[in-house]
Amino acid sequence: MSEFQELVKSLAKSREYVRDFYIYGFKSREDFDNKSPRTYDNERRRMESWLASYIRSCYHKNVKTVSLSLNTNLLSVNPLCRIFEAKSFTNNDILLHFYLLDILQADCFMTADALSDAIMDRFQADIETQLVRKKANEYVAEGILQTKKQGKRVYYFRSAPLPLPDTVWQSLMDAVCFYQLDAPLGFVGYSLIKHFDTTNTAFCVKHGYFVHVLEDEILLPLLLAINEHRDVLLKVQSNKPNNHKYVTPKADKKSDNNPADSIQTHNKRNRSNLSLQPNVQTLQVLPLRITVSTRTGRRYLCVRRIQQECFFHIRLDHIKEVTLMSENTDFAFYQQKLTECLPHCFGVCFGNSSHMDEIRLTLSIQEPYELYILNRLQTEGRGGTIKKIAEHTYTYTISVYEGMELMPWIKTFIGRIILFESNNEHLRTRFYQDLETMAAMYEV
Amino acid sequence: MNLFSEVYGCYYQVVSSILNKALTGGISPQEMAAITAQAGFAESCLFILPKLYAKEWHFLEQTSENSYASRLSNAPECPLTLLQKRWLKSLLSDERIRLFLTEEALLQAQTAFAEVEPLWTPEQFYYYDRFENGDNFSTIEYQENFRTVLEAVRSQTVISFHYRSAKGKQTQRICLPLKIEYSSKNNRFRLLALPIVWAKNWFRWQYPTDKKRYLDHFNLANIANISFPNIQLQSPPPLSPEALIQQSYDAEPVHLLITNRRNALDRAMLHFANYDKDTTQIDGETWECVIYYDSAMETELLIEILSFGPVVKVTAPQHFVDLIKERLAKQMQFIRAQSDSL
Repeated sequence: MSEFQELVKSLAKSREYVRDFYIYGFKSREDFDNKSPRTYDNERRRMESWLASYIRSCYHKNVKTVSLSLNTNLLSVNPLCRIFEAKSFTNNDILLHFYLLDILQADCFMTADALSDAIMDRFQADIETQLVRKKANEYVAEGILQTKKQGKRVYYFRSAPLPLPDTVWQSLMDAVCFYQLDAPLGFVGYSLIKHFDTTNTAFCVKHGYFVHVLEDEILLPLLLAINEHRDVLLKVQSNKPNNHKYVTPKADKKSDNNPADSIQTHNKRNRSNLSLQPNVQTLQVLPLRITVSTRTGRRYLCVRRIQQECFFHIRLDHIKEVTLMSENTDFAFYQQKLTECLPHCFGVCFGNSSHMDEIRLTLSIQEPYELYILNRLQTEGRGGTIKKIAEHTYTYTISVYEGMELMPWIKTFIGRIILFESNNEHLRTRFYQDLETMAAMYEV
Repeated sequence: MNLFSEVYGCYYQVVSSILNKALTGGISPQEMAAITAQAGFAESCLFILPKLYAKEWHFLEQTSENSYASRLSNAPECPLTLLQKRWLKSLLSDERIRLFLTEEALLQAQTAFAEVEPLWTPEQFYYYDRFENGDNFSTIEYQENFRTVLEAVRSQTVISFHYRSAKGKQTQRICLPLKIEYSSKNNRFRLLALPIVWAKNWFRWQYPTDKKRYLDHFNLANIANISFPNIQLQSPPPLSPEALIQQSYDAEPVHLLITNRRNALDRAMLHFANYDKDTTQIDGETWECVIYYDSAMETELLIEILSFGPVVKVTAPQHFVDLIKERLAKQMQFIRAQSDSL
């Protein structure tokens, strides 16, 4: 039995546990029944070690649950970045890291043989030249070292600092303090804060979804693929609680937890039953961009599916593996096609023009006191048409691929919806049924 | 180019800090333990220090009973990685970068990063539900105001400015700026500040003492004519900025019952992940989620909950339940009126 280690070789497993502890936070040891209890204990202990200040344990009906408690509004850095600092390494890795950087000071150029000799002379450490060369080449790939060739000899030297005046660096570090909380791949900003031994005292975020950082290891190769216009092979699996304890299959269920449904298609009305087993799919797609919801906390990869000839979105947290493939020369063509689709895309669903959902809302807005409602329609309505049809009465009309995507937003206007109309009878029925259910639920 | 690499790892940072200290006059075991406890993970002392003492990581030489010296000749400084440079380069094409860098500084930065490829460009990200009335970051006035406020936050200096409220009313404000808050949903910056008032009886400027809530929020876009009135306060703020923000989470927490239909559990858990919350499972299909929030955000939370429809029910506090009932009652009146007219 191997002893407990704080560090891990891969984040794949820990990422899922941290996500469960943070997003759900109610699961007990028994609920993680797809892994052995020992795996749970190790992962929990690791999380307690990485994120000690944010752990909350409680007992409910004599069952212990562990969760992560983060108020994103209060934090100057994203604590979940800590998990990216837990990569395991060998003794040679750490020895070579400090020895190589100590030897290769500015203006010092050395071959792998010379470096190996210098390590022996200065530190009495016998590390094979091959290992030294391998590590030096790794550091060249990471940008820490550079190489220069003279004849057959390869000389390694330290990468030079960027030529920037101190005042500009200072301003750039102010920017890093802000962007590490908001920009994609926030861990890199976090690492820069650590690198320059600075602290963020000025910035905080509201409506921040710190959990996104857990997807950044997936996001990075996707961005590289988008930059290089390359196809990718994705392994996709829902990370929603995937056992039957949490899921009751129903034929008409909007099944975001079903991996098949994370692939958003237009034909939503013919949903199949949810699978009780986690379903892993491998898909070859052309990634086009990242679509972000600032309200629901979800991020998606927008792709062109090569064989099916359609656009769709895949939740980033459902992507488990990314393999970069060859360049796709049609990238610009599909980008253009995607741009043409956008006016009818309210959220992340695509379709074709023969199946548009038309929605018309009639709203009561008491002017001038409730002009903020009008303002909401304008700023949140995503291209819908707003018209005043009578005193204190407005209509909002929109034509979209998937009307169901509007339903949560429309419900935020409960209390002032005079009429809901749609060419999709299913939407209309659902809307009024939901209101009746809510009224009964609150005994109104 | 790896995101998950030991180069950014906690253990490398701890060893680097220990070696830095050891290079200048030696380091004691107590100091090593303190550095590890401060910069490492909770159990790192058990892993890092034995390796250093046993010379498996042979970076230190014992020079006396209580002191170790570094075997390195230099401070262990690592150049920036390509990933870090590419991330920095990406920031230069974001519209908000001009809030931090003047045109001249931006030009210098672009020149310095000329050979570096960005990791992403702004058009590769599409924020489909972001409000369309976000701040206009491109005006010179906004950029200058932002830098002035940032400087005031850093130096903890009292500022005075004209503030235009949402209703268009303009007032003069004097306050101590504490934090700049950004909302991705609103695409806006707000200044969180402590108001400063003139105490007539004491002939001095001070923090208000008669308010329950100290912190004021100002949209940065509505701030103009910032000046530094040279007001010296006799005491530091009553609480840290974080404690003051925490204090604003004063509302009685909302209790939600989530029924797991339409994938409500997954949607709600992720949706409310930006709040501090506690969740417990009540039975096979029902969960209770307790959300802690700032009472100034009550309406925002209310409509977020309404957006879930019948799969999320508020059970407490009563005033919050009443707010929902009030809206539903109005809604049902519209529905009944509509059916009557048919």
